[in-house]
Amino acid sequence: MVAKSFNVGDSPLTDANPGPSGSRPPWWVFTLAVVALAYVAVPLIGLLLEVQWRDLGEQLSSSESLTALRLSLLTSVAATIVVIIVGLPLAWVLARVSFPGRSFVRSFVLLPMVLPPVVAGVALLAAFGRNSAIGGWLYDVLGVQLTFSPAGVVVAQTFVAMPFFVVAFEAALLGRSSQPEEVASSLGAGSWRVFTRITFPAVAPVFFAAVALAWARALGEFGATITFAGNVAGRTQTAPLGIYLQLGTDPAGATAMSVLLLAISVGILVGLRGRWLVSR
Amino acid sequence: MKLHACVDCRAGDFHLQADLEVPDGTTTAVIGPNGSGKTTLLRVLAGFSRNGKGEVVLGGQVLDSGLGGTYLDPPKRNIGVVPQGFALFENMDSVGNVAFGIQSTGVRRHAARRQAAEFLDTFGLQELSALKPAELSGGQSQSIAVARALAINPDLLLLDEPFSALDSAARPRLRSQLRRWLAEARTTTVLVTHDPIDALTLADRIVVLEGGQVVQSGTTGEVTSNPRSAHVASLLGTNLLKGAARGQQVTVGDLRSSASQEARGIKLTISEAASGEVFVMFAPSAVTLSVSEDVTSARNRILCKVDHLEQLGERVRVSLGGEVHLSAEVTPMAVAELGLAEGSQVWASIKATEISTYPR
Repeated sequence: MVAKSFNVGDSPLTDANPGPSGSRPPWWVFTLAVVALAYVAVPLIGLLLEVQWRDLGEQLSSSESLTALRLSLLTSVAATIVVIIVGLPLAWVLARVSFPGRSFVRSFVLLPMVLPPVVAGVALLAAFGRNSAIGGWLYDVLGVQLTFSPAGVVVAQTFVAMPFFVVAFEAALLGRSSQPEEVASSLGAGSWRVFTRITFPAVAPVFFAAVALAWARALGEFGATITFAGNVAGRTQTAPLGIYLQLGTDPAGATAMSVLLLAISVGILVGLRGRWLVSR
Repeated sequence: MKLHACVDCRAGDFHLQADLEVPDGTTTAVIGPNGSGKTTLLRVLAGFSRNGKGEVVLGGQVLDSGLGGTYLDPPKRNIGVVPQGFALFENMDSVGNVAFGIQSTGVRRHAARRQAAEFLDTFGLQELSALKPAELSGGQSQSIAVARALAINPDLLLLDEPFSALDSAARPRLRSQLRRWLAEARTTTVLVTHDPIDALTLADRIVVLEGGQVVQSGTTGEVTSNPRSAHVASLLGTNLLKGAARGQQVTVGDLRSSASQEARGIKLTISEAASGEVFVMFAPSAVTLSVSEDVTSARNRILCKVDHLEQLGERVRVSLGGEVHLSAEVTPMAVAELGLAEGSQVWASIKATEISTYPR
């Protein structure tokens, strides 16, 4: 029997892309990695151990908790819709239209991601508070007051959630060649039809992932909300605010609501697996 | 419809300046090296990029008259585009791809799909109807892309390197298929290619672009029999020099050489008298090589150095350097007898009767 032909590619001496298999780190790297993992795991386990599972339903259905949860759900969904309506065109413009100062606008849009949420709240107060020019005009002319109102909660959540959507969706558009769009336009399709029939179907998975990220961020928003919209039970007291307040008076209720928000987060993560968060 | 285009636009340092005249129902091939502006030219014709100045007129309708003037959006032009790599719509099957343009004209989805399916039938592509682009081979993708462009019954068809993404084994069959389709559709066509065989087999006329300028245009016969640029000469595999002729004497130099270099250049004898500035062309097979000066009876001898040897079928192509760059085609036996290797010195001889000249 003649030996099988030997391909150079069969067993590379060094692997340019080491996969998870076969690489064995020094013991201290391994130890530190375990510490990092524990950092995430231990508090969550602590939370789960703290929950009084038998009374969970009862605690969540207390009128205070229900009100906060309902408000959270409504405002975060509203904020997500606003994010999509204005964030989608923004992502499209950033990805497809070249204009002077584009890279500046691109980083500027990211600002709320790194800005301390409480600073975002202060900034929103300065812009839309009753005593500001815009806020004053809104109140005097339209009778709309954003501070201490559910609308204010939506404004705060939109502010902090927008970049999560824009960044993810813009990246998806940027990663695509515009050739199919050009061909579609040459075939007589106007820009709306090109977007709905060609662009959107191709980037839909990332779109939904980006929406989920923005919604999760809006749902968990705390700092900007409490600073700008205040903490009015039934009007601006969202679930995170409620948890913070209940912690002093009713720790069990706070834990119960926390575990619910945790479950939602886990649900989003599971939903995103293999879409935006590519599994290896 | 007849296309008349004066394209003049800039992108950074690049300046494209090309006039194009495509008679109704004919195919013009635009050839030229990479970066010569071929794709930019197509983009302006399709309306993906704007013309700087000058007019693009298709069948009497002005599509673009330069910045500040008329400009029709791509959807308002009836132009079929087959881009490099084909850009099929991944989320639709072949019928959906072809139906897309039909639907744009206002036909309802169901009717458009039926028309598209019939259209694929007439192209003999019915077995691809239900397949998604990811399931198609390169050649099949090309067929669907061409069918998609022709389905809108375009006034002008633009093909950008339609064979570059395909493996060479599939090309001859697809080339003759495309040739048949173009003949049947009788659509005015502009084809961008870097492969001379595409141009020769598919086009009626050839435009040669180099550095954003048209260096030659004419019927395929005119361009191939009298190449006027190093690019076309190398595509055709022929030797092209420039020279100054006086009767049966011509002083030659490389195409890139300056006038003074040319004046000190090599003198060749030609059989047909000529005068003034000329191109000098001869086939590599007309070049004989020898190691000593007086072996052959040819009167034209040039001392050269072997740059490079390359096997081409049963012949060996010898690239020669020195005062002028030439290529010669000899048998492997001759290579062995002459002991040719990179760097060796040889005399290249060209018979006067094998040299053709034509005015620059």
